[in-house]
Amino acid sequence: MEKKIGIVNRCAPHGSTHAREALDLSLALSAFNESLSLFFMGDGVYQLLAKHQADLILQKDFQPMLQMLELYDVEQIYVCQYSLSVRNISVEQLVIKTTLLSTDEINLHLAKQDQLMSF
Amino acid sequence: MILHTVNSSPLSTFSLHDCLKQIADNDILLLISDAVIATSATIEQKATLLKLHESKRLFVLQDDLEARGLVANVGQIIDYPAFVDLTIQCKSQLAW
Repeated sequence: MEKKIGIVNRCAPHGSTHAREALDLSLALSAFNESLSLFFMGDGVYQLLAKHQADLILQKDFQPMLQMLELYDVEQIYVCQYSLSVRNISVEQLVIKTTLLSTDEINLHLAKQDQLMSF
Repeated sequence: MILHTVNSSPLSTFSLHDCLKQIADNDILLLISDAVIATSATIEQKATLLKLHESKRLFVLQDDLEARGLVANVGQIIDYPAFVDLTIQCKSQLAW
């Protein structure tokens, strides 16, 4: 049976390349894995915040690539509700459709994965 | 007079926390890169940042804010030339 893979995004965008690498990996994996889950928690939720202008700091804006997840049938995208509220971010400010989960619910979903990759 | 620059998120690292413990009365704090998050999130150091802001010693780099789609609730927003002015104005710089 196919492995359930979870990609955990915990880094703020642009300050490091982790966010970009995690997204590249997610899109690549989605080609041959249908049970891929993405988790955005901690500072990782900033990756989803709308209106990035990455060109100002000479970085590539990867947000249009987030829209590709839907095209690639990656639908299990989970965001930590607590992380959003601490950062004063509302769900309307996110660029893609996601499922909001409490920290306990995130734990349950993480436990279901066969393999986890953390960025 | 020292220019303190912090470049990592206050919610993921202790850089801002450590810096604020060390900052002297006339020192200046500039938030750059991921540290600009400190001006929009709800963090423990909010009161200390507000005090620095009131004494006109808290600055935030505009491009780093806008690159991340963030809006600052505290601190004076400056551009790169103003960053250079701050480095000239201060005797030394300390990067956290």
